[in-house]
Amino acid sequence: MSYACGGHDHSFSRRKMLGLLAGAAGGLLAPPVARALQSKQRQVLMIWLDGGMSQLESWDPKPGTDHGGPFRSIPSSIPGVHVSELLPYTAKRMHKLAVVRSMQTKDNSHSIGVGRMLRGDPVNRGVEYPYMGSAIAKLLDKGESGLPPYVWIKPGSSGFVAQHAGFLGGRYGALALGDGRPPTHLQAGVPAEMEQARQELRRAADARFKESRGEADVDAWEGCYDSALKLMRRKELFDEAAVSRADRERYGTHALGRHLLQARRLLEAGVLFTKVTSFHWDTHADNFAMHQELMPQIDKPFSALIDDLDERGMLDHVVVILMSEFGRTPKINGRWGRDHWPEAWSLALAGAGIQKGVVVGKTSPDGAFVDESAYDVGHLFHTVYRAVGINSAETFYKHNGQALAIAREDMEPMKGVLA
Amino acid sequence: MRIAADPAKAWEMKAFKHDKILTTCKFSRCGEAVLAGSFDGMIHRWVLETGEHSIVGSHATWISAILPGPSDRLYSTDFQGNVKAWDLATSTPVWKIDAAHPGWLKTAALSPDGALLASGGRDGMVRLWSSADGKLVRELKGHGRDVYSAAFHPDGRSLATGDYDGKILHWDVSSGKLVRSLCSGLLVTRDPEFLCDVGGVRALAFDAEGKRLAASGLRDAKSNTFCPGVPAALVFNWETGKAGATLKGKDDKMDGGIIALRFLSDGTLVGCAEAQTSGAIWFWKPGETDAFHAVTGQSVYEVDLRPDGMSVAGVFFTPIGPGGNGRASKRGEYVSNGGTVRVFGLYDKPAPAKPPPKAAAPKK
Repeated sequence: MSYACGGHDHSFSRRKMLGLLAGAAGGLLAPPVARALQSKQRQVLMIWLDGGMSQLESWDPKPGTDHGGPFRSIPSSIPGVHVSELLPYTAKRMHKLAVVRSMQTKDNSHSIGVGRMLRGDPVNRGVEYPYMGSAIAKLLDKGESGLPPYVWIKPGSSGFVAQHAGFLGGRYGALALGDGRPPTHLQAGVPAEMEQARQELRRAADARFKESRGEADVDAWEGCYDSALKLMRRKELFDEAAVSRADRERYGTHALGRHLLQARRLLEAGVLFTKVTSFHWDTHADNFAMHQELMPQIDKPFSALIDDLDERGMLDHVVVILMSEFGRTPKINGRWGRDHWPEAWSLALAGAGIQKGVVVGKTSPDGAFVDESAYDVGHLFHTVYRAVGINSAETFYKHNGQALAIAREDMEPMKGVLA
Repeated sequence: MRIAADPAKAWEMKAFKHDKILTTCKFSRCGEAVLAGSFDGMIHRWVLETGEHSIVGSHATWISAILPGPSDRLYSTDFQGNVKAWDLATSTPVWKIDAAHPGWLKTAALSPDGALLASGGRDGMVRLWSSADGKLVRELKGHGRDVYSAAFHPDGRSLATGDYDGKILHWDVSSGKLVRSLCSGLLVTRDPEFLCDVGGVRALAFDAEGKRLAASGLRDAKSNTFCPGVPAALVFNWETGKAGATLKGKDDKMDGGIIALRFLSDGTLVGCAEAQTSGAIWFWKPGETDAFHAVTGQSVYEVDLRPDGMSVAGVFFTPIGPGGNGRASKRGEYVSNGGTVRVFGLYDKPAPAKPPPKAAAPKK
């Protein structure tokens, strides 16, 4: 049996592992942290620019240097800190962000890099670790919204993506909302009586199936159905008419703008972990013309989102992560593109538990290497977990009798990022 | 008797290397030197005969265009919207326009008499400037997006400009009025899966008689990441505004756009193309769609004709050190790629001069 332990049994602190297991049902967090968080459930928004946004055309510009590209840097709202001229809106909100300019990771390919980054580059323990969304869904209390804990807004198709959960089991997978749209059945609408009859039939079939087969898959599907049912009671979250024209203009009508606006609505409704993915940032050719087109698609809606979360008081309990799987080569190739570069790149954080208005780490004058405070994705996982109130050094998954660290044991939170 | 240029006989006369990528090149009006703009913001000059190198002037960022004019004037533009005029004889600045366009100034052209400089930028505007003093003459509004290319008609009365949307506009220079729009939607790929459109009219050129207008770029792009597609050029009948069949490159494996064009005096079209691992200068005979000759190498960003019509120059990408996706590079060994101006004669390569006969050994 590889899955059956549910609820908080998957996770426990080292102290509990040493003999306090009897008290494990109380949860994961140290009591003071738990009390502090009781008033408002911490949530996470991950914005994933798949393919790799250029750090030189965003957070860490190097104008006038060999690899700096043609664009200027502009002053930001943090005195003395400049960002690329392609981030005019975000530049004015830098005092609300923590930017890490010294990411130094391992993989220069998407196929390995994406999974490794989203799993926190765990030490190989013979299991497949969960993506951060599934991990948060497991490690944090779900809150009172009743909504799916891990929602993934992405271009393309919808569905339930159990694979993200790794060894945690399918129920912690991602509910993918293709193009931010609700599940099909939610859109169509089903009469209540008919829906109730359908669900009863499904549950009966599941129960019978469980008697003779393994429970894992059935549990995963039941979790998926339950999520859908909860969403069906919240149709207003997807009502386009409820979005103001002003918000549409502020976020933009392109996919990333619409999806970030939808993410805000889901966060407001209480979804624990929301991931927004934008594909095609892998600018191997025409990097500079492409970034002129791409950067406004994140700059403006990201700024609108930060403003909205701030105005609503949500930056006090929502952690925002903006990142890719790596950066782009300082060296410019024959088609004026930039290739993959894990050696020195940047990401941004904001919100709950995160310092405001700081830039952490430093790259070499040509932007090619990290000069100060190199951080890997394991450091990022520790940082995010701490920001949402999880003691990442003392919290472990329990799986098949072995304790598995929720973040790299040889790493710790990034210095200067946590508030 | 004047010898006609024959591209099929192209041979490399000269090559001038630089340790930064070169963006553009032009022959000087006298034909004795070749000029090139660079990622380092410098305007380089190499004397063809001797190879002597000098710097004409500089910008704070990448050079987007250089235009030699009459009376030893040189005009240069950059990726931050600025225009500068230089005295080539003394390499001294004459005037400058700060922020002729906000941001990237993507194209510039000089009128046949050298009196007007046309510029186009990311703001979708075309502006005409007096080349004598850099004063704004008029603004041409009509493009909705980035203006990527511009060419004056040989009669000087018309200007063609091409944009990101694949649109070519015909302007009356004296009034600034839009005369007509030519369609080249082929040169932009719009796909809902992409984060943005790919392509645009990246180059325009008139033939010597002003009867044909060539436009080029990339068609059928497959993504906005590697931007792979099919290099393509169209030749419009200027009078009717209708385009003939789409011109193809000589190598089907090339996946980048045709980004610069020139016409030889006999109507042969010259275009250069970029690709992920190679590049070329292609030559098309009038009325034919398949290139009849290619000069190959790495990506080529610009071509120009020597005033005598017997040579072409191209700026080629020149890789330096390891490239591609990286992590293994060491500090101190990680350097930028470079560029080379290669000059090709379009005629029979002269036989090497015979060494002078050895003097007879003195008798002992």
